Amino acid sequence: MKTKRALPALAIAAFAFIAWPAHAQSTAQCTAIELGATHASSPSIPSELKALDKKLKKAPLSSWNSFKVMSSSDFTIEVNKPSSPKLAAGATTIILRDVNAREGKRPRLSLSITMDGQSGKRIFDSKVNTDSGDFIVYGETLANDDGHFVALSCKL
Amino acid sequence: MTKPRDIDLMQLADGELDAASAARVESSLDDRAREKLGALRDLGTVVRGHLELRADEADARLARMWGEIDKQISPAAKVPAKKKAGAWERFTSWIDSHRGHVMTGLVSAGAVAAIMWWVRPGGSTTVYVPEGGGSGTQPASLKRQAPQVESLDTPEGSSGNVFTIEGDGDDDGSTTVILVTPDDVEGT
Repeated sequence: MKTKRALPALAIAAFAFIAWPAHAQSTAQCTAIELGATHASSPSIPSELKALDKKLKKAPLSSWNSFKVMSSSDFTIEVNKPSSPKLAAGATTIILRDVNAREGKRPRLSLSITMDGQSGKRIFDSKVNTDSGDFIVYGETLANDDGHFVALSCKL
Repeated sequence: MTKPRDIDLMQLADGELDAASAARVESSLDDRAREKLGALRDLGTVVRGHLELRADEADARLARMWGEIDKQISPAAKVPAKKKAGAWERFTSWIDSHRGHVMTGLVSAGAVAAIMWWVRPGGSTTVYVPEGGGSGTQPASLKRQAPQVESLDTPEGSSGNVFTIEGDGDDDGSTTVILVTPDDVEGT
């Protein structure tokens, strides 16, 4: 009797194993660049921010004209595992919630992002969907009108 | 000349007398005896006809019965000497005896495979060329999608704004900006 019951189950398991893709993408390589933004008499954008150069000149980031890199981290994120790249001021945590890779479109990353300010208080908690490799810039306006941001880019 | 007895007439009607006795009885027949002999022959014909019909019916029933008996006897008679079955024969025999289960399993597996094929993630992430390294170019056919902020929670005393800075083209994607501003700063 056990053999009779096991046969359909084995067949189903075999077909499911064959039909399912070998691996679902579950990690992404990320870069987090911590930025300090100020108003200065002479505009300044460091070479490390070349990929963001055009974006920094557009609103709302164009409110500042001088940027400096406070820290930079390259790290790997895994699905449902929090990663906290080290910042010079404050803290941020990124969780890869899902990867959606559909034919003809860029892989889509679903991220949970939190950021704590320089004072240690939570600034925001957000869920963002973005294409692989695109930048997300997030941060706060400080009391002196300077800006403190993290430019995050994750790609498969 | 003696009058024939009834038993002599009956034996004569049934053809049971030898030739001499039959001739002797026939020579002694008067009119009444002849009528009785005729009646006996008619009666004999009727009885024989009736019995033959009943016998025919019995023959049909017996033929059916023999047919059934023969069917039951035949398989036993046809069983050859048992030889040891090979692995393949045992396997096919097992498949035959469990045909229902096997078919159920195959149909179920086919349905599951079809579902898995249908819902599996599209495309292949393994052929995707990562950005920014080496040749660094993306296939132009890969369409970009606008960034989407599903939720943004900020503590009291501050406000959050989401901006999207559009890219210039395929090589320059959109950038999402999440900007949180304390209310006292915002008011200044």
